[in-house]
Parts: sequence; structure tokens; C-alpha cells
Amino acid sequence: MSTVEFEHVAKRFGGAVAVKDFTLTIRPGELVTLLGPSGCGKTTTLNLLAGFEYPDAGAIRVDGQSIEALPPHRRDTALVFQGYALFPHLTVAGNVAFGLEIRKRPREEITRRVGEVLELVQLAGLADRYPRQLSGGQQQRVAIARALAIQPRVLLLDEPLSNLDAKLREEMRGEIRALQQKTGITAMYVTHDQEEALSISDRVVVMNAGLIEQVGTPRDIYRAPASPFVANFIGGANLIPVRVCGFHDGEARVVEEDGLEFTVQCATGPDIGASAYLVVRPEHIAVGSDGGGTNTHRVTIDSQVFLGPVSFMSLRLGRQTLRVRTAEAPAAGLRPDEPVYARWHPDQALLIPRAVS
Amino acid sequence: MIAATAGRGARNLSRGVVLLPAVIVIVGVVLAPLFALFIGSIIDTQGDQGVLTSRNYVRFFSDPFFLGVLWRTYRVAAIATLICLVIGWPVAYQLSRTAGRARLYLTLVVLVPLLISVVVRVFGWVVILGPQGLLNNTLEALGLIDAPLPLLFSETAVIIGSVHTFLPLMILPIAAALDNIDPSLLRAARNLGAGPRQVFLRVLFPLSMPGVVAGSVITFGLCASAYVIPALLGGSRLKFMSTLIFQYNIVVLDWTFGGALSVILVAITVALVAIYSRLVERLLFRGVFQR
Repeated sequence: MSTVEFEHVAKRFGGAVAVKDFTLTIRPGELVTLLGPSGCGKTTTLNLLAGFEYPDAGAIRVDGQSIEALPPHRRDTALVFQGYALFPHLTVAGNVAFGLEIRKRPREEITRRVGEVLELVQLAGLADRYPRQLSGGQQQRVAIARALAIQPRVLLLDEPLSNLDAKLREEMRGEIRALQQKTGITAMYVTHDQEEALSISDRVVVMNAGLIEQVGTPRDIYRAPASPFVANFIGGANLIPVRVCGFHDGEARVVEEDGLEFTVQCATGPDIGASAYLVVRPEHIAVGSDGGGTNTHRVTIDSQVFLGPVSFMSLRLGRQTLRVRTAEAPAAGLRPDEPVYARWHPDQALLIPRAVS
Repeated sequence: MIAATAGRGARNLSRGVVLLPAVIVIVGVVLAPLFALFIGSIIDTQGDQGVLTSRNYVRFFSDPFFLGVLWRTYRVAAIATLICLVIGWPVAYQLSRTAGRARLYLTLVVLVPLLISVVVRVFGWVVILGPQGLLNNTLEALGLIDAPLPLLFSETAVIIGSVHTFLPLMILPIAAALDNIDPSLLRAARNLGAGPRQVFLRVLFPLSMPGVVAGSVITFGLCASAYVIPALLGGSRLKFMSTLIFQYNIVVLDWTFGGALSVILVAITVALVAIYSRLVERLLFRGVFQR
């Protein structure tokens, strides 16, 4: 079990900033996910740890030892590639044995270790197959087995599930987490899929434009987003620009630019007059035909999508567009000629600071 | 079912039509004359009667001189092929790593030898290697040698000429094979602890084998059957199969023995190439060729 530390790591490609002032400690046995849209610097960060890129500034340490200047083959970080990168000319066993053969381990140890790891990923029967004879899910397991075989200090996973279909993706995600827990290995996982990140990680690092937006447990990230970007990227929260106009008894009163008023619970009172975003998750908005009460406003329905277990609605509230996610079929019990109201509970919304240009 | 069979029949037929010109050329220009040579070499004409004979083949295989020529031909071809591989592989690697316009220029540079007549190129080597040639004169001027080295009219000269001539045909297929290697495999190898040497030995070279086999088969076949190169650089005394065939057909006018020589050259070359590619594909690098 190893500790990984990034300290003020920076990387540019030509004039473009890929990663800026990246500081993070991954604790022993922890699975940390770098989450963000493409181009946010998550893959660059992974490559910096694997040694495929070298940082312009800052330090990267594994167990206290600086590794940022070491070539990739001296780093003991095993990477599971997005496209698996299995050696086509080697059998499953040959692929898994690769790192051990390079390390000149004795023959018996290699055989034993390959058997163990293939057992671990449930591929014991397929040792003599070639990668092209395997399904996508099986290839994925070989890639993981190959990485685990060398007992690396850190396991790196670069969008490992993006080549699988949706059902298999969910299954493998659980398996990767189970394997990581079982082996107790320190792991860094890169993905752009928030569901994957939330379900698999001990902690999530949300990145945007080369910077860390927030680091926290999946729950923290979801419940208490630190920035508008995080709120929107994770769970697609509605962000309503507001101004704080009062605070009383743990509830702040805010007003939207067209004068619509909302109440939101907050522990500490914000500055009166401060600019903020009111964050409301799509699943916290209820739509109905009765008006009246706090945070209840008349809306018009722009569009509706029925997806079986959930439905999505797009509502218009003054100049704001609200995304709503409900368990019922859209507009159930709503009559087209009746006015429609959206409401949410004050403790299900939150305020985050908004920079005003 | 019937429709499907009919459809497949039509598809096979149309494929046959497409291949027809190539088939006509190969049968008419290669196989038929070769067959005629073979028939000519096993039939003895006495008056207007033809008698089956193994005379020409017995003559060849019982004479140490002919066996020596055979051995020299394939030995020189094998050495030239090996040198082409050793020189050509790094060039092919560089070519496969180059992109865009630079790649076009580099490819042209590689191909230049093929754009110049083989006679001109080989005469160039005569000028360089001759007793009063560029190389000997330079070495003498530098005081490194007292008398000219016998460079021309030697196996070495033939090997040099062959390598120069056929190198592009080794480089291009290897570059094509290297192009097909997924770059992430190299990263994977390094990630698993392989240094540059191990990456080459365990990943790059094995995966370039389809190109190596294609390149060496082409080079070896052309080296073994080349005429101009051994004729000009080997001289009249150092015989190769091709120069021997010329001598018996054109100078001695012994067409039956000349035919036998041609058949022996083709048959052994085909056999060696088949053994070589089987050996590589089935035994040495099974995984690379396994489909």
C-alpha cells in the first residue's frame, strides 16, 4: 500500500495549460477518481504519474520518493489502458506474465503468480487464448490482471470501461472496485462519467481546465458542490443567479434577477447583498397544480422526455430554465389548461458564491 | 437456400472475372514457359524420337563445380538479405515514426535506388570498387594500403551491389508492418517495466515479423535470381546460377541443360522461401501470425 503525493504539479503543452498547480495526496489503499470533461487535464495527470509525461514544475512522490524524473519503466505504476493495449502476439498468460518476465522473476514464481491473478479476475480457463479470441469484457479483465500481476505500488486506470456496452460497464465497475478493495492497492482512476466516479471512488477529484475544482467523497461532491462547475457537472444541477437579501433563523432569502424570491437553508449567514448561485437538483423539484407556499412558482412546461423509471422535464421559470427529474410519467395528473407550479423544500437547495464580472 | 447458393456462385464468378487478367499473365508468362523448360530438360531427342531422361539433373548434382555455384548463389543471397534486414529495419522504424510531408520525402529517398537503372547503379559500384577505383585510390592516397585490394569481382562486391539494389524492398514492407502496431502497446510495455531494449525484443520486432517475412522473401528471391549484379560485380570467373543459366542458354546453346538449371533455381528458391516462412510463422513467432 503506497501513498501518492502531487505537489504543485504543472504541465503545459506549447502555450496551452494542461494541468495547473495540482496538489493531491492519495492515501494508502485509496481509490481516487479524477473526473472532468475532456481536456480538463485528468489524463495528463495520469500520464504524469505513469511517466509518459514529465511535469514542468512541482513534485510527484510515491511513498515519499520523488519519481517525477524517472522514465515510465522504472516507476512501478501499472496502467490499465482505455483500449486495453493487450499484446496481440502473446496469449492471455503471456500478457499477464509480461511484467514478471521483464523483472526476471523465476519461472515457477511467474507461473504461480499468473495462475493466481487469472483466478482473481475469473479467467483461469482462458490462459492459452489470444486476445483477439476474447470478448471485450474478458480483454478488460486480462488488462487488469496484467497490471495487478506485477504488484505495482499504484494501479492506474484510464477510462477503462469506455469500450464496453452499458450493461457490462456497470458490472465491471463493481468488479474493479471489489478487486481494488481485495488487493488493497492504491489506485487512481480517470473518467468523464460521473456515475462511474461516484460509484467506484473513495474520493473524487473534479477537474476543469487544468485545475482542481473540488476534492471530496462522492457524497460531499454531490451534496455540497464547491463551485458552479461541480454543481452542474455532477448531476446537472440547476443554477439560478441570485442576490442575497436577508438571513433569518438559518434560512436565507434570495432574489432572482426578475424579482422572484426563494428561501434556502444555510448554516452560516451569507453577506447581505452578495451574489450567489441558488443550486437546485433536478430530482428535488416537484411539479404540481397547486400554488402557494415557499419556493413555489408558476412555470410553463417546455418539453418532456419519458425514460421509463424516470422522466425529464424542462420548465421555464421567468428567464430561467429548470431541469426536473421525476419518478412519474411527465405531466401525470396535470391538465394542459391548468397552471403548473414548481416547488422545492428550502433544505434541498443550497447557495454557492458567484463571482460577478 | 438455393438463392443463397446461386448468389455465392455469382459472387465467386465475378471474383474470378476480376482475377482473370492476372491469372492469364501468370499462367502464360511464368508457369507455361517454366513448364516448357522443365519438359525440355527431361526429354532427350534422338532423331525424331523423344526419350525421358534425368541426364541433365544427374549432371548438375554430381558435379562439385555446379553444387559450388548453387551454394554460392544462396549463401550470397542469404547474407545480402540479412544485411538488408539489419540496415533496413531501423530505416523502416524511422519511416513509420515520421508523418506528413517529411514521410513523403523520406519514402522518396528510400525509393531512389529503384528509380535508377540497375545497370547504371551496378556500374557505379564498378567505378568505386575497381583496382583503380575510388575506394582503392583513396586508401592508397591515405597510405593505408600498398597495393589495390581485390574488391571487384568478389562475393563481397556482389553482396554490396545486391544490398544497395534491394534494400528498398526490405524497408517498405517492414515500415508497413510497423505502421500497423498500436502505439499504446509500446506504452503498455514500458509501463510494465520494459526498457528500450526489451520493448524492441518483446514487442516491436515480433510485431514487425509480417513485414520482415515479406521483405526478406522478396529480397532473397530477387538476390538469388539477379543477373546484372553478379555478371558485372562477380566477373566472368565467379559464377552464380543466373550467370550460369545465361552461359548455357546463350553461349553454349545447351538449352536442355540451361532449362534444367532454371528449373533447379526456381524449385530450390521456392522451397527455401516456403521452409523459411513456415518456420517463422508456425514455430518462431506463432502468436504474431495466428489469426
